[in-house]
Amino acid sequence: MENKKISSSQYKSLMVIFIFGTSLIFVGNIHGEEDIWISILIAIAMSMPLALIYGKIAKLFPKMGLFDIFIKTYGKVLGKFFILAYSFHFFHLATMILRSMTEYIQVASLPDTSQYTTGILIIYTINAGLSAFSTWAKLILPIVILLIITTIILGFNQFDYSYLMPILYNGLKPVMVNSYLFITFPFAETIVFLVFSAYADDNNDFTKVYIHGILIGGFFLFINVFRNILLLGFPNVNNVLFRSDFATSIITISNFIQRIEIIVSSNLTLTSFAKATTYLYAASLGFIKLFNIKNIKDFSLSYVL
Amino acid sequence: MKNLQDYNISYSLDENINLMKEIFKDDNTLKIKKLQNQFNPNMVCCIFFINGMVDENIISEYIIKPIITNRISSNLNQMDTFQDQIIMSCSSEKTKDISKLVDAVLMGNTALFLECENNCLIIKSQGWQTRNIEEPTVEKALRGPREGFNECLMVNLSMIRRKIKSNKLKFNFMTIGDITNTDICIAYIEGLAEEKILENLYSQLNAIKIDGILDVKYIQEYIDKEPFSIFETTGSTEKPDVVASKLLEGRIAVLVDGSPVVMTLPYIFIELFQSADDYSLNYYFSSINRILRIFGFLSTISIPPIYLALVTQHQEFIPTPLMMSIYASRISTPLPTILELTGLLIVFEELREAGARMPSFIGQALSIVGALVLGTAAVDARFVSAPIIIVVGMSGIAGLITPNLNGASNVIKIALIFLSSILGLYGYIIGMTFLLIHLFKLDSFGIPYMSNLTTFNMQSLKDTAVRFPAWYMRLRPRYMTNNHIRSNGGKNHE
Repeated sequence: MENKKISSSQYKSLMVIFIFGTSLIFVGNIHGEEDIWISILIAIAMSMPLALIYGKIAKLFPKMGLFDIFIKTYGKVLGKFFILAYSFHFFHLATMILRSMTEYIQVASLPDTSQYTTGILIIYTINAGLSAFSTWAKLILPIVILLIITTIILGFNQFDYSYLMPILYNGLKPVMVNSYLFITFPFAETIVFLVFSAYADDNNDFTKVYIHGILIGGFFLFINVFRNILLLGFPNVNNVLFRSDFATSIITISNFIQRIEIIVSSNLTLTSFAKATTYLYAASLGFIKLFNIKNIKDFSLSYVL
Repeated sequence: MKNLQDYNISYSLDENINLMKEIFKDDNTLKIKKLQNQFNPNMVCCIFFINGMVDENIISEYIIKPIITNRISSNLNQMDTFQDQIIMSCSSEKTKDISKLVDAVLMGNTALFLECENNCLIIKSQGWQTRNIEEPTVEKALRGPREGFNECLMVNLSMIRRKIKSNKLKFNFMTIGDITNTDICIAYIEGLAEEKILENLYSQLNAIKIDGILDVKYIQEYIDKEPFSIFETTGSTEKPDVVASKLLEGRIAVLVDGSPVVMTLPYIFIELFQSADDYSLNYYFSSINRILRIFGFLSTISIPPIYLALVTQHQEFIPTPLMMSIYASRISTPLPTILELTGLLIVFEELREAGARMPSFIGQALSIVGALVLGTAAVDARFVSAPIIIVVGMSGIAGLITPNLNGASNVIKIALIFLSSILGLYGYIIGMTFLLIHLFKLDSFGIPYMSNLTTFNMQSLKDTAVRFPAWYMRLRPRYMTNNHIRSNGGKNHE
C-alpha cells in the first residue's frame, strides 16, 4: 500500500473533487447577495499565492509528508503538538462533512438514512490505500464534471440574467469578506494534500498540482454558483439552505425531464465522500505518526467509528 | 507399507519381478512380460508397463521385437548395449532409483529389467486416448482460429508452439500434487515477460502443498492474492490463439495436465471484456462490440437497483405518464417490489443454470417455456408486474453478454439491490463507489487491476474499450513489460 506512487494527475483530480466537496451544495452559506460569484473569482485569484506556498513547502521537503515536516522543523515535542492539532482539525472537518452530507440526504430526500453506511465505505477506502482512492478520483472526476455541465445545459433556457443586476450594489466590502471566507473554505483546506506528498512519484510538481487543482475546482464552483444565482435570483438564494438542489429542481424540459436534483445529490454524495475520506485518511496518518502505530489498517476502524 | 526408498533393485531378475509385484500389489493393470532372445536363450529380460497408459504398438514393434529377433550375446554392460543398440526408442534412460522408476511406469513408460543387472531401463512408450482438438464451447469465435485446448498437456504445448515458432518461447515444467503428481507447465517468452512476476509466480507455485491438482482452478485459487474478492486476478482461456497473443504481450501462461483451461497472468479488468474474435473482425465492429460488452456489464448490475430505487424511493423522477402505467400494473400484485425483483432474478438464474446443464435440445424448449409461458402467465395471473419482467429480462440478457463476469455481476447485482432498497439512489451510488474502490484496490502480480482505464494516453487506451487497428498498436502494454516496441507502427500506412 505504502509503496505505490501517485501521479500528479491523480493528485489533481483528487484535489478538484476535494474542492467540490460539500461546497457544491453548501457554497455561500455565507450570506452572499447577488455578487457572490465575484467573491469566488477573487478567492481563486487570492489563493494562488497560497498554492505557491504549499507547492514550495512540498518542494523543500521532498519525500516527506506534512507531519514529517512538522517534526523536522519544530522538533519532537512541538512537532507532535502540531500533528495532534492538525489531526484533530482534520478529524473534526471530516465528521462535519459526514454530518452535513447525511443531513442533506435526510432533509432533501430520504428522512431515515443512517450515517453508518458511508462510514463503512470510508473505512474500506482507507484500508484500500491512497493509490486506489486517487485512481478512483481520476475516473470519477469526468463524470462529476459532466453532471455539472449537464445541469447547466439543461437549465440554460431558464436562466434569468436580470438576477445578476445590479452589480456591486452593496459595495465592495461584503464581496471581499465573502471571498476571504471562500479562501479558507475550501481553497486553503487543500493543505491536507501536503500530508500525502510523501507518496508522490518522482516527477511531481506540487506547485503545478495545486494551481491546476484550484483553478479547475474553482472554475466549476464558480459556474455552479453562477447557475444558482441565475436560476433562483437574489433573495431566494439566501432563503434556501441547499441551493444547488433547489435550483436544479426548478429545471424542467417540456415536462418530461424534471426534478433532476438527483444529479446534484449524486455529485454531492460522491464528492463529499471523497472529501471526508481525504480528511480521515490524513487524520489517521497523523495519529499513526503520533502514537507510532505500524499499520494504518489496525487503526482506521476504531477511528472512523 | 514400506517406503519406496526402502526398496533396492537387485541383480536377480526374479527378485526384481517380485519387487515390482509387491510395489504394485492389488493393482491389476500392471503387466509383466518375460522375454527371451530367440538366438540366445540365456538372455532373459522382463518388461513392465501399465495397461492402458501405453501404446501397445510401440511396445511390441520397437521393444519386444528387437529383443527377441536380434542376435544378442551375453556380455558385461549389457544394459548399455540394450539402450544404445537394441531398443528402438527416441527416449530411454537408465536408472537405479526405484521411486523414479515407479513414477515413470505410472506415467505410461515401460521399464525393462535384465538378468544380472541391478539397474533398469525406462523406455518411453506413452500412448493414451485423448479428446480431439475441438472448438471450445464457451469461447466461440465468429471468425479466426477455432481450435481449442484439450486435456493433454503435450498437445496443448504443441498448439502454442505451432503459433510462436521462436526459441525465446520457454516451457518450464514442474510437478504439483503429492498424490496426483500433476505436470504443470509455465510458458513465457524470454525478454518480454517481466522477471519479477516470473519469480513471484515460481515462489508461489513452489509454496503450494496439496494432495491433488485436477484443474487449473486449484492453482488459481492458491495464488490469488485477494482470495475473497469476487473478481479473479488470473485469466483463463481455452484457445491457443488467445494464449499466444497474451504471451506476445509479455504475459505468462500456466498449463495444467488434464485441464483444457490455461491460466494467464497478470490479468486486468478489461480483459474480461475482450474476446478472441475482436482481433479477427474489422476494428470498428469489434470496438462497438467491446463497448456493448462494457455497457452490458454496467446495465446488468445497474438496471434492477435503479428501477427499484426509482419506484420505491424516488417516484418523482419518473415522468408522470410512465409512472402511472407502472403503478397501474403494480396495483394488484401481492409482493413488494424488492421481493418481486429478487424472486424473478432467482427464477432467471435458475433458468440459465438449467439451460446450461440440460442437453442442448431440451435447453431450447426449456427457455421457451421459462421465458414465454412462465413470464406471460405470471403477469396475466397478476403475480408480478410487467415492468419487473422487462427489468429482469433486460438485466439478464445484458449479463449474458459477458459470460466471464456472470458470477461477479450476480453478486454485485444482489448487493446493489439490497443497498438501493434501503437507501435509494444514494445506496446505489455508495455501492458503485464501493465496487470501484474495490476494483482499484485489486492488483494482479503487481499490475493494478484497472490499468489503462483512467488515462487519456492514446497508446494506452488502444486495446481497452475500443480496439485500434493492429498497425496502430505499436507498443506493448506499458505496465506489462519493459520491451515496448511491437511493430514498426505501420509506416507503410502513412
